[in-house]
Amino acid sequence: MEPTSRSGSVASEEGVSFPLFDRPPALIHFLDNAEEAIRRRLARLRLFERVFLLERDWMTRITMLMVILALFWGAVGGFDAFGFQTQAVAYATDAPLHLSTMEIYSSITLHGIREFFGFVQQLEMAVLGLLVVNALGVVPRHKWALYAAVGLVNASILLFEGPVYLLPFNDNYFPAVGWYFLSPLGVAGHSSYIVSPLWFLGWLALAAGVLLWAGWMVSIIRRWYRSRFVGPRFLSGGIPVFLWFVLGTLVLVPLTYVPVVVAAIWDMGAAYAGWSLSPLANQVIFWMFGHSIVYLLFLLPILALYLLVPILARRPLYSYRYAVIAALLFVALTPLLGIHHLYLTTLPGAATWLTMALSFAIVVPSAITFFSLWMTLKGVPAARWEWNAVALFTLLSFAGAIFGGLTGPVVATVPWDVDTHNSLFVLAHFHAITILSIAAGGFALLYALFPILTGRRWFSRRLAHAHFAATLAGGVLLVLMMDELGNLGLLRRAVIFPITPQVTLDQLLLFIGITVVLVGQLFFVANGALTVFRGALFSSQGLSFDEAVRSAAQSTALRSSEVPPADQPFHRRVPRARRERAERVWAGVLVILLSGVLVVATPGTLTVANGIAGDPAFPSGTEFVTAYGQQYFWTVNESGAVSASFDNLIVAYAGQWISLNLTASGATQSVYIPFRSQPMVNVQVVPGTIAHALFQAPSAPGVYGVPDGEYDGPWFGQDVAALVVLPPAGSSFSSLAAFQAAQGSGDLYDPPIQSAASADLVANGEGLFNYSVPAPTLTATVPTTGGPVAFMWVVPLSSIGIDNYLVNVTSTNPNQQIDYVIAHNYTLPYQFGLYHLDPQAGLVPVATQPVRVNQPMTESATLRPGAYVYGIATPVAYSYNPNGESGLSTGEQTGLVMGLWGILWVS
Amino acid sequence: MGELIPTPAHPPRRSRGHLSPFTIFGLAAILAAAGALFEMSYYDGSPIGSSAVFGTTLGILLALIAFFVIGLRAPPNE
Repeated sequence: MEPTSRSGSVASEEGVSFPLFDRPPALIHFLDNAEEAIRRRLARLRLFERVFLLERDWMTRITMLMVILALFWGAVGGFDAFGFQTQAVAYATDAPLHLSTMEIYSSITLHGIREFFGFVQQLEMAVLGLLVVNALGVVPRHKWALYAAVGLVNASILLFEGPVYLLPFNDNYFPAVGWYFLSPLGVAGHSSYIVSPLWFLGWLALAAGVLLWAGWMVSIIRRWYRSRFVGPRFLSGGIPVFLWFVLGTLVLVPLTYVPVVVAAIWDMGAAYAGWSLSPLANQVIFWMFGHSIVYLLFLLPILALYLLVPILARRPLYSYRYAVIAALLFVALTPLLGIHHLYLTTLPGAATWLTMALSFAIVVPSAITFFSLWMTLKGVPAARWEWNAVALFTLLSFAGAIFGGLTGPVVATVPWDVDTHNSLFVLAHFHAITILSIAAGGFALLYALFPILTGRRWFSRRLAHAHFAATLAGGVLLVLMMDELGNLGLLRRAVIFPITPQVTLDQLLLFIGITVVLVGQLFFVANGALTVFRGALFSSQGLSFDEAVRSAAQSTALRSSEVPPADQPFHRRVPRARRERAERVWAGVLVILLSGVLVVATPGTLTVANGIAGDPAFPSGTEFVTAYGQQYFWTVNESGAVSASFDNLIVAYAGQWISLNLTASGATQSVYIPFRSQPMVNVQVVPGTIAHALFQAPSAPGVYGVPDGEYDGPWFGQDVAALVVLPPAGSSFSSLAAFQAAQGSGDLYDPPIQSAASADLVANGEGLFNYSVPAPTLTATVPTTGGPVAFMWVVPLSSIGIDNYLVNVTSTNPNQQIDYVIAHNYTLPYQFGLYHLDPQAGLVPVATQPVRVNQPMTESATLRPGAYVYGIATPVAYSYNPNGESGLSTGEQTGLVMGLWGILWVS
Repeated sequence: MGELIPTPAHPPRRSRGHLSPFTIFGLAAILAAAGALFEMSYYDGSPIGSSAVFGTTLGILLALIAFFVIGLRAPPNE
């Protein structure tokens, strides 16, 4: 890939010199010589020579290396998702689980890390460098700066993975914090789950690598600009549109990565140097990165579309001016949106409202973009448009951005976010953008540029088309199934979830969607490999950049649609004023509509925000509940008609208003009650803040599930409390018929109902009865004066294992926990009890007995009508420390966990 | 650098009835928008949805109508 000007000759070095690099230091000489020696040896092997293009110039070699590494991380990250979903399907279908709890949540964490940074960020770096060099004819310099940037980015992915013990193999210290880390989760001294410092070092290395790359890009663009222009000519048409987006990307890089450096250093200081920590402030800083990174990566397909659509259409962009306006708006607005990930925290209502307004505003540059691109095609005859892989993926990226982008205003609308936050609906929006737009745009660019990079035409049209079809079909299925599960109220990152026929079916279809997408990428990798070894030679000599792209793309064309790649003369007939008038009308209409939506959403937004942050007015008879989240369970104190303390229980009377005062430690928590026949409850509780919620208990007495909506560590799945709604005071303790008729208000997390007499409670490997947390609600009917109630339960020995919090892990011996149980006479140091739920006295013991393993147990008592808690009704202290491996350098995992408990409803 | 693959002197005959890329991209946009509206529709009219749900959905719907009306009436890229 020698850089060429439009005449096809090699561009000469020109213009500005950089004093620091005029005389390369001795280290650079050494590195150059070492590289050359390695290159010469490896180039003797055809495999390396062809795959890594070792006979080409250094810019080509490093770009190819980045593309290969990006695809590698994309594949590994894809299999992370495959592994997670395999486990989800196995859980839903009672099949054996192949990954430990920590491994599964690490899969989710590393899936995000590898896809975001290893794949898309690195691909963006490769493609933008390639474009700038080839399209602008820049001679690249400062090779080792670019090598260092690539090295840092890829090293960061390895650092993120954390420590692994090889003998015996143990990867349970891989980080399980989520692809983002929400302070204080993972921070030593502030959380029950602690990651190794490698996690934070990974963030610093990643930021250093990307910032270094951005600096390298700025240096070469600056040289090009000085060689082409006498003075600034920003809007004269001298700067190609795609370069505006490259520049926008480079401006966003420091705005994106500096905040994550600050957040990471703050967390490290809190963990290892005793700094004080404000988790909410840290999260605000983190999300300045967390949202910006998505748009930083979204600029890749935007740039791809602005570059490729005019090339494929053989016409200039509909409006240069509006494309530049879109680029400027993207850059200006992107850094300001982070708080929309914190809508449901105690941040001031004004900040929440303003962020919502800005989140609506960023619709404008996207809308301008897709209007401009569509208009660019208006008037292009079918006979002059070639359908090749570049065009197909361009089409997919265009449509995918609309499909995913239109659900952006949904989650941006604060009152609507109450219904969707932390549910899989958000993941549907996110994966529509990432798979169907970002990845698709990246593939469009790869199909266009790979022949230019490698000097070989694509080997197989069929593989290219199969890649497209699989990405489209699998991606759409995946997104729709995430949407379906989110509509049911299913939480994201859930590998322990309520098992219903609909959930099981949707999880299975989601698994199929993921599989189809992954298989599709194999077609692409195979085509790439076949191309470098057996592809026909390709040369861009004598071709303009546009002709080179079209010629390269033609090797993947549908044969019936092939069009000669030569540039065609274009004579503008429609004046700019007329075209820009259409753009202006569209932008104006959009601003008016967005303003209207903002006005409609404002009252609800302020109600939500002020309700979480402050104390709203209380109706008469309100139950006052103070709940303290301790990472995996809630300590609850109540005053009002119910005046008692509980663990993981909120108790109220039917129809009673409940005021929640919420605090947390260890990790951000959330009260998430996904009602479907009355307004939902969804509040984020960041440690160090006091959050509030006011809602009305359902009118049907019963047991409602209250999961923690915010991922908070490896025992996230067991972190489910119960809202016990009692019949009105003074009335007879009615059955659950009304509850069942009302379908539990549609709350997916309501535990299933079973008759106590026929209940068969069996503990599973996650320390839950019958895959339910809380355990199934048992029912019995007795005379008003009381009667016998009995039920059976068993904790099989086979349920004791690495995913079970009932026995600590002290060894890497897979049988260690079972051996412990056997050595202790099949008895665990906990009490299985039956407790009367007294609204004034709390849990009053009726009967208790030790938890005996592998022995069917019968719980029986004479009970009066009322609600009772059965099982291990207090948290179990758990720790993971095989062979003393846990510590500050590797990570620690402890927690207070509840799982083997439920409600007995005696009417 | 390698041999250039010669392009045909005469382009292959195109079968008639092909839709223009403007039409196809427009249809794709309609499908994509329909998919997004389908995803949103769960909350419209649902007891859990607030008035803001209606406002945002209506805004998106009107924007889509405006997109296609303005686009179809706008001058071509010639």
